[in-house]
Amino acid sequence: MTAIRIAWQLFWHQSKTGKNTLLLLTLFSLSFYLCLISLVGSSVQQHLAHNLNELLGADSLLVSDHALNEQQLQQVESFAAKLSATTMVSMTLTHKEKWQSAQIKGVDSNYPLAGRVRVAKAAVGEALRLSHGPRVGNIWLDSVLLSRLGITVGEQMIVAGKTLKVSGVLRFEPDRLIEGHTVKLRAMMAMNDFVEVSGQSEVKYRYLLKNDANQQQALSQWIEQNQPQWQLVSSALGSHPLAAIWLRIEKFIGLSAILLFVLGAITLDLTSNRLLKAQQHFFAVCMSAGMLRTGVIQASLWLFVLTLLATLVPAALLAVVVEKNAVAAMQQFFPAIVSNWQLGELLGVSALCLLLFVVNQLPAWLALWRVSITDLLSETSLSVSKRLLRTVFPLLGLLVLVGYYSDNWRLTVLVLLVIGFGILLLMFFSWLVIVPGERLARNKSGLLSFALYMMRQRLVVKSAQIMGIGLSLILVILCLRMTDDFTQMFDKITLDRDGDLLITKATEKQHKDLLSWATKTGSKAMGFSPFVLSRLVAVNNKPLLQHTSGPSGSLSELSNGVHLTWNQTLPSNNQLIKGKWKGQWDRAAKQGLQQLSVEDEVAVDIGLNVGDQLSFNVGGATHDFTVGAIHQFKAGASAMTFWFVLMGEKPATLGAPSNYMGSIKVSDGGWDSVGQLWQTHPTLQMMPLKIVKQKLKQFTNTGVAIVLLFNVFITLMSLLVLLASVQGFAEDDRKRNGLILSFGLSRRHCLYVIGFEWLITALIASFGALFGTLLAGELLYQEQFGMDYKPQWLWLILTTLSATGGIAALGIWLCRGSLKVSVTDLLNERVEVA
Amino acid sequence: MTKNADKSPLNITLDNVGHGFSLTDGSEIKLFSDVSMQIKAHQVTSIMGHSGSGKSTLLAIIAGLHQPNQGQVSYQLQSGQTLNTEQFRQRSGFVFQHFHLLNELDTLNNVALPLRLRGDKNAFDIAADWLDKVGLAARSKQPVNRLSGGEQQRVAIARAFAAEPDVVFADEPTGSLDEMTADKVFEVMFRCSEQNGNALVLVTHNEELSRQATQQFRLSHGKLEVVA
Repeated sequence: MTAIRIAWQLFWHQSKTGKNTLLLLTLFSLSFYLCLISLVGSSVQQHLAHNLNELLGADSLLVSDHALNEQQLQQVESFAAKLSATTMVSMTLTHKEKWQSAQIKGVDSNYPLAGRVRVAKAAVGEALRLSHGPRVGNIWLDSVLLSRLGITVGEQMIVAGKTLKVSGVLRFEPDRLIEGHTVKLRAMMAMNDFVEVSGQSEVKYRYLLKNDANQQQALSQWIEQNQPQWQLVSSALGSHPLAAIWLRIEKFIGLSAILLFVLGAITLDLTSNRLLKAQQHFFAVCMSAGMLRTGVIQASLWLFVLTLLATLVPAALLAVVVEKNAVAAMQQFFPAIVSNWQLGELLGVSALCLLLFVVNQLPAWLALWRVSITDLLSETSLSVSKRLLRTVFPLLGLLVLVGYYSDNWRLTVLVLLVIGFGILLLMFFSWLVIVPGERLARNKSGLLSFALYMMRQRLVVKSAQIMGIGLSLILVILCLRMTDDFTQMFDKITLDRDGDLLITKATEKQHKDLLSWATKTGSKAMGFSPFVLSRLVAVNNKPLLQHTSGPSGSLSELSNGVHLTWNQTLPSNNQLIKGKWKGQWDRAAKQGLQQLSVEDEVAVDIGLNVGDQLSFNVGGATHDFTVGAIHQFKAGASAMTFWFVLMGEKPATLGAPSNYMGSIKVSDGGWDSVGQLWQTHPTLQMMPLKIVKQKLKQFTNTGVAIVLLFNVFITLMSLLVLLASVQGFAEDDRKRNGLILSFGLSRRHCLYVIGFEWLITALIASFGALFGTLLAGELLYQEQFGMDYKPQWLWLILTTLSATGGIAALGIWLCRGSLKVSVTDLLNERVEVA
Repeated sequence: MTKNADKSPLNITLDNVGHGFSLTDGSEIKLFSDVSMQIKAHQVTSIMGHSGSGKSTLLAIIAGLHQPNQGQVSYQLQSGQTLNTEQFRQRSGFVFQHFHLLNELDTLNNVALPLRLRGDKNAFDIAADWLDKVGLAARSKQPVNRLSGGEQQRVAIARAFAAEPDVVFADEPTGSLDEMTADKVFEVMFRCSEQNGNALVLVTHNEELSRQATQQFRLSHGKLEVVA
């Protein structure tokens, strides 16, 4: 009982005097963040995974040119929990006098595996969300097909000699995106009917699979060894763009959690250092008053328990409450999201926090166990072995805990490498600035030389402060960079700045009619670009297949034909990363070939560079151009980018007629007359994107919310690091300022000294962080996100300078307490215990 | 930051000074009242009294760190110029009971500190000189936390006198030291004061040492009595 009473007495005293406030705040914040992240993360991840399933319709998709036989089906089913077979054929549908080419999908009774099919009873009106495809004897047509064939729901039509009832208007297929964007008109029927109608046509066999990442990996390997002609599109393996983005979000969550963990550990170390010393002093006094060593250790353990009760427990409870409210608030934006976490997750993360705190506390307990009263009471500095113990323990503990927490050892090792390198860099910078600076100023007088001298004397402890701040800064800058890059990435896929009716091919006449239709219906035409269909046939006079060394995604697209566009100026959604844009190309005035710009990923994929000569086949004739620039997508405008953009006007020699590509933001009333537009121009290729856009928006909004949330957490945690590093020196600074005042100098002079110190600290931390961020970007971007890290120097330097100013200002502001000291405080000073 | 050029001696006059403080329940505790005294240049003044008698508060009032509730303190140069508190503080120094040396600095740097802060280019030479005067020239490169208590207080004395203040205030300068060490420290302090030609105002419990002062006061029952 004595141990509990003493622990309570010490805890109460520390709380009342505010000595443990920062420690409690750190423990509370870290526990709260980690608990909240686990809980919200669990709900959001399930929501996003569900959303992704809604978008992809399955975990993976296997595509084959032939139907799988029984044995093959069994093999594939062994890698999946569920399988749905679908088939696809292009054929011409007729009704009365009308005909229309369309893509017909046959689906089995398992379809869809994820998400819902949306089917309406009429061209206009609400759609039902169904978990099955059409019944035998039924067919669903999309609204445009319905309109073009002049048929209504309830009527019958004959498809390849079989009579089918049109029983619905097909609005949305959950597996549509996994197939990639296509503008073909769609129809869906039951698999049994499909077998009868497909006949001799070229059929694509597509098998939707419900399987986890391990099964997908195993299936991928099996296909590679046994059926290399099959194609596997997998969410876990990131072969679909959306799935790849989802993987990046998951990795970002993992990384941010590790960063939070590391920041928490730094804050804990900075905060608890002084407090533990005071506690040891208190316990030494107890021991000198006759308390047994075991009693003292018991008291220390009880003090730890009290600290946990005041931090971890309320933090976990608060996280539960906040998660419920946050999810409820999120439902306004993401109606399908539900609070969905398990008690085990909460207990797991709480246990992890507990372990982190234990690791932090362990050296203090060991010290109590081993040292004598005189050791505890003496003011001597820590011995090397004790200092090692104090440093190695938290580091080792951190390594194990972070690895366990993140479940991604590779990422953990990379982050720790970044941190290790950051520490070395910051130590080097500290030494580089402070030591020679102090040498230069040693024989000079004045406040700056005094500040440098003090920093030199405090180099070891000062380095810890600089490292804490510098590391936080590396992480904050890295997170800001990632937020920017992720937002751009989301921007690219949301089609946010494009209309909801995508026009992939319109002739000159159709284009004009579209524009006048848009004006008439109050709709808005967005970013139409002219193009001709072309095929890249040679690079530097070498056939394309000889130019590229291996198979590539771009290559198959290129051989099928690509859109070749032209523009006087660089399109607003592009930015050049190599070469120059020469819009005023004039064949008469210039020698050589007209230049074009190639999209970065294509250039990398098939190995193109500025100066290469490309030969395109357009309308049967070959045209040569030179690569003058490489461009890439830039957020803020349309998501539609062309792989090849001719600089300048359309060459007169390109005889092929121009087509147009773009989109229209259709007004509410406009949707009713889309069918009419199609009837007037049956060959117009367009595709409504409304539902797809809504879902993409929902997906990316969640992603942005996650990235921002983590940024806020990391910034707040960094502020705590700063606060802890200030508090660690508060007593020393107060004494120093008191002395300066006792020498007859004013508070203004104390402020100058603090200002110089913080400016030097901020400069070292910021510039160390600048280089640390570069390394972190190089290591983490490619390895974890599959993204190229391209440092934006201006942005980095501006961020570094702002950070320097911000940290210096914040440091000075936080240190203002040490200015409140007076000479009388020094006169009246009494030795304090704990 | 440079010291006032007027080097004429300084006198401090207390005229009917009284001070006290209020408790949280609103009641007032009076420490002392009607204190009148004069501290002249080159004089050593000692103030004795029991714990809680208010002698440290009186020292803070004389040093211009506190404003008294009653009466006034004036600082006047013999040239006739009157100094305000800020000007006076630039001409004064302190020796604390707990030394308040900066552990980060070695002995020499602790002594040179006030001079360096004032921008004195000869700070280290002057500091070395003063370390010699207090008998610690050989320890100039040592960290101060390796010195004994008496040595640390001698460093603090050297630091206070190195800036050549007109007045040095010392609050229980030997309070943390044993009797023999306290004697030595007092001896050093008196000698420094004499060599420097400045006034020394010290608060102490030690009657024997107090007797060495030019003028001696005792604060008792709220009144300041002249002992000698």
